[in-house]
Amino acid sequence: MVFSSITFLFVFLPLTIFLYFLVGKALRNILLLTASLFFYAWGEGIYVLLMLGSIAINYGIGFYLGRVNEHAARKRAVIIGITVNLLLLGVFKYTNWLVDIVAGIFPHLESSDLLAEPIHLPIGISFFTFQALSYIIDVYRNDTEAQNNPFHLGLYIASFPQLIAGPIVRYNQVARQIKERQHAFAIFASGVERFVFGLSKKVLIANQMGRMADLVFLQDYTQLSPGIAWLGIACYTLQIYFDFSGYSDMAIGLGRMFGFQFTENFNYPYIARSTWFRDYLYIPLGGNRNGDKKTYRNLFIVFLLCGLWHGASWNFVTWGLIHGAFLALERQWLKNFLDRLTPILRHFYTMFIVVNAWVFFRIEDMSDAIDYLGAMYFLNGSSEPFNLHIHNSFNQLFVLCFILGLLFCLPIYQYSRARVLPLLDGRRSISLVVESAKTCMLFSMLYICVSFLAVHSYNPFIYFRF
Amino acid sequence: MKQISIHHLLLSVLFMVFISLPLGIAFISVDESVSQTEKRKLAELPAIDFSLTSLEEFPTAFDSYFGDHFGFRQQIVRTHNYILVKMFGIFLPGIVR
Repeated sequence: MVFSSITFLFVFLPLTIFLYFLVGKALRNILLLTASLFFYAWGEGIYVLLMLGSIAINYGIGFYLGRVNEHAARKRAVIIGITVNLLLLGVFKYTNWLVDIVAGIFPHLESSDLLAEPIHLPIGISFFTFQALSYIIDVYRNDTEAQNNPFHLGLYIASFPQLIAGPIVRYNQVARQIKERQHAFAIFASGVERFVFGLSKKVLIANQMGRMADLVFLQDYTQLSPGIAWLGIACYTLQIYFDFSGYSDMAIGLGRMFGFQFTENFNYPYIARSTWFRDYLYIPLGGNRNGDKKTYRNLFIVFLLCGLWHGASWNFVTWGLIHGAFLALERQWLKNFLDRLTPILRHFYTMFIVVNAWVFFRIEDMSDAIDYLGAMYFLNGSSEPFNLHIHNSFNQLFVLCFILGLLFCLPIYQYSRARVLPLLDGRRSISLVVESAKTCMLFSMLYICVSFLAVHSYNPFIYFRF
Repeated sequence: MKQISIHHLLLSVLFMVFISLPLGIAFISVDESVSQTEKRKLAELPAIDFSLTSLEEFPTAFDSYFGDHFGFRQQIVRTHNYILVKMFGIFLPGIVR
């Protein structure tokens, strides 16, 4: 089930909220866990058992770590836990890719000779596996206490607001909230506000940008004009940002409705806080503490794995390595030059690299990706400047959404909020007008989003490879 | 402070009403089999027999059914068509003007 669906909005969400506030406090976590498992099973069917298995294994490892003091035994347990989690991820996410690689090395072999049927990739497996890893590692490091209640740990791993598209929440950030959390109209209303903003980002901007991006990426790249190629990658850039940021907003908003305060993980482009890789990989590898060579090695490992985390194929590896390479380049040679630039030029530089790298994120085949880059930089020779499908889709709605996309990826909302709110202090009548206008705007946005979802308009789920 | 609390209360209640009404209306109204606005047959409520195949197919079939039958759907679809046609001059196949 996805948040931007009629079944979620009008069946799952109201029923879950009603039941949640109807049952006693003691049953709320069990209810939320049951609803989360149902939410997952709705889309993934029998694979919900995989998640239950993950909960059971990690509960067992955590339980053991919480009771044993001997260092060697604890280390063994956490290594077993990490291995089992990574094996789970490896089998379901990377087997098909590895089989294709082996079949590519040995031309007489077909993928079907090695694997009868491709293995299904359960949605969200990377998210819940990383959350589970965070739990056992934090318990091992004594950063947090082991969870004695399996339902509580189950809720941490499977909680539906951040189950299929993140954000990845560290256990020690929510451990206390799982046990005891506050409910108030103010918190619930702020959750509603955040959820509606997120849904609007997804439905009104990301989906519109995605439709155009898909049209462009369906064309023959060798015949693509530079203008259309840049339009395609600009739309894809906006789609990715508003889809990710929209899902994060919806997750944080839904969390607040149920009393959780998830940490912010996303800001305006492109500041996503990848603390998981920093805390559980980069720093344990040595970070930047052991000289330049090892720092660069660590950066490359982190970004290689970060790329692979996003999907099991070479294009994601390339995408990750591009980011790692530029970070290393900036540390070694570009830093002094970049420091002399104005902030706006530095933003342009970053966006230029990020946008070009998205070509590899989007296009799986390497030669196609090179062709696409060729189209962007006038290198493909002949091209068709006019494309009927793209021309027909380049309508007023698209232009409006594109402009809104460009505007709202800047920190306009945060900026105006920081300036408007202090002006309202103590001015009841103006404050009432502003709050009422905001409520009207929120419900108009919600209604328009629902109207787009009601006609089954274009609504892709881009996390299916995560 | 009191006004802000009223605002939060209002926002929370209105949201709950907004997301609950379509299910409530769908529950008490008679299912139509054809949409006059869209000139097409609407999805039927899927049967469920607790076999593994049936359980696997049920969510998609139910999504289609509920997507066609939730309360206020006709009004909401008309809003969508109004936005596209009147506000943006977009004529898509399938939109009944």
